[in-house]
Amino acid sequence: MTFAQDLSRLYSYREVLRNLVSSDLKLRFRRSFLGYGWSLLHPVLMMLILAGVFSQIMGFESAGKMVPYIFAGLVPWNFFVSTCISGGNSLLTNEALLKKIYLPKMIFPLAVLFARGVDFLFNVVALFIIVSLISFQPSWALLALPAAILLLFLFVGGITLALSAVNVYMRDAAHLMSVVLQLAFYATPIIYREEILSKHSTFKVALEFNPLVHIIRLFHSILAGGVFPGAQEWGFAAAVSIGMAVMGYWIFARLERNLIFRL
Amino acid sequence: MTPEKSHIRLKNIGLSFRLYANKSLSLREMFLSPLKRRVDQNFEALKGVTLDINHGDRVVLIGPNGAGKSTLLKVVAGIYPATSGELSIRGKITPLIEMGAGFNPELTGRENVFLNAAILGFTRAEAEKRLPKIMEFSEIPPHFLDTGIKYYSSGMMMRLAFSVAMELEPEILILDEIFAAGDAHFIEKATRRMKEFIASAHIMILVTHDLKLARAIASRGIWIDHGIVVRDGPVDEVIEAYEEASLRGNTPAPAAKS
Repeated sequence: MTFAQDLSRLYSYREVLRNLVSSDLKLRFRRSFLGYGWSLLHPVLMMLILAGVFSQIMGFESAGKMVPYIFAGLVPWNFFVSTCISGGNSLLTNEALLKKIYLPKMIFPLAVLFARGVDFLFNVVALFIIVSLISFQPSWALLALPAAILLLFLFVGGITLALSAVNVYMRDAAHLMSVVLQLAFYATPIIYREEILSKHSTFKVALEFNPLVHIIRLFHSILAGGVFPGAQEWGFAAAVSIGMAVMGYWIFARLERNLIFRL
Repeated sequence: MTPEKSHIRLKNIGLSFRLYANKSLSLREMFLSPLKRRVDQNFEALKGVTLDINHGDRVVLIGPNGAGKSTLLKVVAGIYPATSGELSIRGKITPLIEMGAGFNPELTGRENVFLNAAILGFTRAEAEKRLPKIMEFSEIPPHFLDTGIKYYSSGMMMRLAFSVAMELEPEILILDEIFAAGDAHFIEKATRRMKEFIASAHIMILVTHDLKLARAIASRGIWIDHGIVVRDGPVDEVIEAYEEASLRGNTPAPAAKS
């Protein structure tokens, strides 16, 4: 099936995709008093705790610099991890449905991507709330945020598509992935600044091979540095994101046809 | 409905399942040499099925358990890709392999109607428009509409699923052992509705073991065994032959036919 056919099929099943995304979001907060309010309140509270702890340890001034930096990396990271995990399992969890009716299989990982994407956007809002309490200088760099988010979505979408299909063929993938993600967390500058690696040259080089680093750098620069990312930073980030999206789609498209026999 | 005529053409359709001991490759196996790797058994569920199903056909697929009837249905519905052969279909397929596809116990009746309707191909607006009719037919009390269906009785859930399905305008209708369920009153009403529903379809293909039902709603019988078509013809003739063979206890081996 060609990419154009896939797109048109996806479009004709957009109603299913929309329903899957909305039920995913609805179910989490069902019957809680605050309902959707939690999707904003939860990240705000989590970040408040972290910011509070940091300012106790580091003093208010250094925390004022470090906290926005950590959140700028942590928010996209959390989106990446939660989408990989639940998106990676999405075909397995929908096995019963896939065996009853024809649906384009791609909608299941994509539904997870969009649902977690909505969570991510709430997290970005929470980040603005917290950061503005500590130290916030609105800058023109924020205009670049939508482009950075788009690249992040492409990257996460690609990796999730690939994982969801590979997972069906090789169930070890899910277990392996959680280990790899743990490793990746430390191999990505989120809780530390890249500068502290200046003495560890091998590690610093290795960092360049972590594709996620290039995307996280955009967020660091826009949300924490208040600087518009440079052409080189955009170039690397766009290359890894588009590359990942194309590769993820390619892997998925190749595995899709016989997937049903492996469920 | 489109003025075009629907049809289904199967040419030498074959489908073989690999019987995986555990369906997915484990890491250990990946690193084993191909010689040491466990040999998977192939199971041919369909062996060269050739059928022409035309506009107006009311087909029933009969045969013993494991004959390949449901597999054939799933190939036509696009759930299983055929391993070999050619499949060409004109017309929109409405597969009711099981009613209430995608029903989520946590969602409310209303949400499930929309989800199920979307899976069956309705837009939101179409589903919205049909909601009152669906609720009326299902006889579910209005205050249950916004209650999670995990609190429904199984009869209520069935009625809801059935009522959504009956709103479809099928061109090629695919049914797998689907009957109305519920209390006597609902079954009677649902059976009548089901007949109208089937009558409105261009093509119907039904899998069932209920031969009385088969005679009542189908005009053409296709007897399948061991993945091949044993007999194809007017429903009464095919069922008679099938019953006779079943009574004798020996369904003719595939070789006996050719």
